[in-house]
Amino acid sequence: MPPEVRLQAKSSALLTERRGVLQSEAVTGVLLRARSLGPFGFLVVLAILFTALSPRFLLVSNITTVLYTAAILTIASLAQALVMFTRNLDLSIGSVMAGAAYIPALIYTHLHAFGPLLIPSAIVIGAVFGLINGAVVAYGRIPALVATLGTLSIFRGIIYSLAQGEEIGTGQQANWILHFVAAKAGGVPVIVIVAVAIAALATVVMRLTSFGASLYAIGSNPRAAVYYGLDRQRLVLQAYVATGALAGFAGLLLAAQVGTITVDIATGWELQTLAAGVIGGVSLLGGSGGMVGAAIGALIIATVSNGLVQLGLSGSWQTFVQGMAIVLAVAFDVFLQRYLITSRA
Amino acid sequence: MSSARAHKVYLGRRGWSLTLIVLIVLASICASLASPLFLHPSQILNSTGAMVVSGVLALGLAPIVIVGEIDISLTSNLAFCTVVLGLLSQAHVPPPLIVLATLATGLVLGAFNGVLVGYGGLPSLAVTLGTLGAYQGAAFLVGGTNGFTDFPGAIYAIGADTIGPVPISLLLFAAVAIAFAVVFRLTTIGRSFYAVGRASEAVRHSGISVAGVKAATFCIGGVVAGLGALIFVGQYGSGGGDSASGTILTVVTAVALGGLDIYGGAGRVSSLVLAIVLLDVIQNGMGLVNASTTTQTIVIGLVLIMSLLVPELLGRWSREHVDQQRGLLQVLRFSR
Repeated sequence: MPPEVRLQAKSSALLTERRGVLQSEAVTGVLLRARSLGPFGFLVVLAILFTALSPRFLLVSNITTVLYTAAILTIASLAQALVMFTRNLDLSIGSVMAGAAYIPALIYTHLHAFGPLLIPSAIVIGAVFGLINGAVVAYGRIPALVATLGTLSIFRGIIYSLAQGEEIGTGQQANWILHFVAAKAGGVPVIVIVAVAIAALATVVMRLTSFGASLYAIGSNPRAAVYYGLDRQRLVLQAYVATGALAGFAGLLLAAQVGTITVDIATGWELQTLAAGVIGGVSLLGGSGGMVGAAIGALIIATVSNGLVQLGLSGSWQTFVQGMAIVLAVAFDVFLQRYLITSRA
Repeated sequence: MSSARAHKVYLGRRGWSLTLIVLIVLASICASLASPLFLHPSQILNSTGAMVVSGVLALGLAPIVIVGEIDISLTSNLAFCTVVLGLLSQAHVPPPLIVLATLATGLVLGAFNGVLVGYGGLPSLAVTLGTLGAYQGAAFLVGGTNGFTDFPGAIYAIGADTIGPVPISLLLFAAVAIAFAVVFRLTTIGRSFYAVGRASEAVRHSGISVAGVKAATFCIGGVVAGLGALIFVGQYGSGGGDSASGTILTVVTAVALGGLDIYGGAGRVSSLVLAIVLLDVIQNGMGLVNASTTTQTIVIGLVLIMSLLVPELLGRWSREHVDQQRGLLQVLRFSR
């Protein structure tokens, strides 16, 4: 074989190899983009599906309803996502919301001058619950699942014993907060605007501040983050406190939205918020996903529940679909990650 | 360092069981001082009814935790099994077939988790968090929201009747516990659970299928959840999507209190049984002094956190202590 032919063969082999690499990089890029845009695409597909099945779905009034129900779930899901970034989770989030809803309202029923303090006190109570979670998880080195399963029932138990079987009716709540939750600005519910604002703020914090970057770092590789000099325990504690504070705020809004505060308020929200996060691309393995994804995840859950109601299907479908969605989203995440690792190697 | 490994530093190998026995005695003394009814044998035997479903589920969770995984969907699995049980009872299927079908249902639901975790390599926490909702939703969809209350007498007897003074459910619990203790300690399969939990990479190189072992533990957990369903309907007289929905707290508490390493690789059935007995004494005692279920829930939650926090802190303290002594020794050696 003459040398130039051999060279040509060699270079063409190199070329095809290079093309293969490029192709696999292109596939990887598409898949990664699919993961971040996927939830949004999924939302669009869902909207089209429900519109085809029920003509009432796309009415402006119905869309407003979906956004209205999604708003508080969005805030709670942003809170949940914050600890998920650090490779933890908060099963007690429903109880934290309930505590932040119930305790200030209980004080208000006895002391009407307490009114202006409702919002800050809900946030502080949430933050205190978060501090307990964070201390046990970060400094007690107890797995988040076990620790927050315990606090889930402890916090709920505290609310039960404070309530003594009493519930707080709409008439006993502060008027201004009921009006605030129901208010609309230019046709858009105010709490939707609030939720969007918090989502934007949370995105900025996660993307542009060193605090956000540190949370991602300890979530994606805890050991490396510690070697780099990050105080892992302190950061996890801070994340839990922030989660509690945000969940507390969401709990207060929820109480005003449903009107009557029972001791069972926000039961089961741990599953909803985790589902929202996972569907929106926030990995339970930590370190990946974003706040926008979590918000879209919450919107997807609200859309599904609204669509199922429009189709006349029961709430059990909601529970079933939510659970299966978690499994599918996690499966997709893990297989994508595995594909990325093998394609890079 | 994981917490259960930490407490070995402090308590020694048998110390955990010994601590539990001391706690059981202390709790019993407190309970009998608080209520004279406590020490009555029939009272004690009856009280096991409140604990037996959680106890059985805790045994089912044990192999899963030992291989280093978790299954929080066991209660929803049980709920779905009670629905299958109810449907078959409505269709007048003979009781032996109902028993088989219920256990098989548990097996299938457990296997679904097991295949995803073992062969799919998915994190068990995420998978079973999903199926926790999915199985319960499915139970409501198949069984309706009203549930079932009509079961043939033979099925009902499993959870409700006694042989002499001893409840059948308690005998079943004991049988499962003994079977597990034997399997875990004396068989290759049981050994492989610990090996997978401790060093799955080494196990893989020794030619055992890690995925297979993990999937098998989820199947075992599923079958035990089916057994739990059989006991549940006799115990509570009903079945449906909300069966046992709150018991996962007690189940995980029993496992943590039983000294099973939550990261896998260590734990003994005997300690787990002692932990279940302790929880039963606590709950029974609180029930006798009319403590509200709320108080009981708070106490169980505290026990869960303390059972991990205390050994962790003791372990850390003793390690520091030992390190100090070692440091001192070294200083002495060098100064000589």
